[in-house]
Amino acid sequence: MTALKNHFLRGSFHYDRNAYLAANEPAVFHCNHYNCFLQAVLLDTIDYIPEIESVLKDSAQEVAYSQFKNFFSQNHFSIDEKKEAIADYFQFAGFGKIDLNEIDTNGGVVKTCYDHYGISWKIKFGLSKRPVSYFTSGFLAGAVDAIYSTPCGTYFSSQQSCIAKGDKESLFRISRRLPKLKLRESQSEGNYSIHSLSQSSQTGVDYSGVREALTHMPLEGSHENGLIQAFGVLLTRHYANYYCNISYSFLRLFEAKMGFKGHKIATNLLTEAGHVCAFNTFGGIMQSNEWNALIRPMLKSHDDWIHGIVAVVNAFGWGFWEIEDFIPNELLRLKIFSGYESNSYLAKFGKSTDPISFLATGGVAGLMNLIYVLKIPQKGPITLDKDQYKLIHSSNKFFQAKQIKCRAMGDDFDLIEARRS
Amino acid sequence: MLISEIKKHLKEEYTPMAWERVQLKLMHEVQDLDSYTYLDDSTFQKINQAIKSIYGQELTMQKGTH
Repeated sequence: MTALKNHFLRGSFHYDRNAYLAANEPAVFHCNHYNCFLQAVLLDTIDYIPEIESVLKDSAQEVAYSQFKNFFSQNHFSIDEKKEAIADYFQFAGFGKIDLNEIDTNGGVVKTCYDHYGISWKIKFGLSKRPVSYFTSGFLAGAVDAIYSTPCGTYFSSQQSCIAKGDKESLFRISRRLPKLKLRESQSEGNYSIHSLSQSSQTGVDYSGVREALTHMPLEGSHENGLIQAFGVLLTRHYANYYCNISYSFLRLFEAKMGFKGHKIATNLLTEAGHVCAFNTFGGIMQSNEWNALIRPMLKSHDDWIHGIVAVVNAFGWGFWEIEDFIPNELLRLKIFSGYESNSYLAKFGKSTDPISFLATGGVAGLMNLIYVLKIPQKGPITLDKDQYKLIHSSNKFFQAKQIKCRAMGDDFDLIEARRS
Repeated sequence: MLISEIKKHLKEEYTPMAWERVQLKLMHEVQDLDSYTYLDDSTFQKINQAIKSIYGQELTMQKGTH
């Protein structure tokens, strides 16, 4: 194993806030299904919110710029070392492989055969008619801003070809942005809160032990393709602020154009993205070798699987997930301290008048549906495909969740409750 | 055509939230689709185009004579 070079960025897990931080940017684990579904929902509005493409790209530019500007400001790296550090982090986070050697102060071209968004989109939705790698495009522009120490927004990236379209490679052209546009830096850690992990007395699952083991697992993109293939999905160590900024900026644009008519449909779909995430990622984890080796020996009953998976979530960088009330097969009420959605929202937008923890709300419903509707604990391995997903909703009484308390609204924590519909 | 038929078809054929995605896509043209019972030709075509745009193919069910 080669030693990590000094100019490579990794970051670390902060146990007092259950967050991964790399150069002050919080990272959260999310899968290809969530990444693509969330983007697809936002793009559904492109006919009346054409700015949504800029939101997807510029949000990536802001987080990448902020992270690498911060990282580079603490060290004296050459231009080549900076380029190498960025390509390395892109791979480490599971976004794919990039090579910035053709980039100079005028911009340049980046080509890749391995791009998480392009590959994932094609797997999930089939061929696309237009390029889909908004995140990668924005990331590259932000990275070039950071390499040359220019204000965020100086560079602009456009995607010329895309793996998701059937092209052999994705190609991004980076140039100086005209007219000039100054983008905002990210909210970094946001308004986080300090907390400690609670051990439930209702289970033999060792919450602390699970978190310790998982946060030390080598979940990083492979040297070959820069992708993290784990638990049956393509994982990413994504930017928490990216998800939040694209979701909340979308909602604001939506409200500005449409008023509150249809607001419920928009928020339901953001919540659905969380449910899709839970189904694929948590479902994959519950059927993984890691689950069987590490968690399953602690589980005394099928109901204990809820504790098992909540213990796992506490290693995802999503804040502290704590079961407040659990009636098997009936109800799950879950508290979240320092959840990344509220952290990010509060710092960027201030106090909210409505609940905003869409990912967490969909996720909590997803946990209950996996265990009590699909009955994963009672079955052998199942393929988590569209048919299984439809099975959940064809059940007369599947679980739905609602957010009862929200830290972004002034509460001390998020409180989410899942019940049968 | 009854809108309930389309909703049922979308749920069975695509995903449970397919109807919501169609509504979101058409929000600027047809608000409150859920309040409709029957669809006129024009709205049916809009829905069909939205479905094609999201899922890559038009409705596989035929427009009835309701």
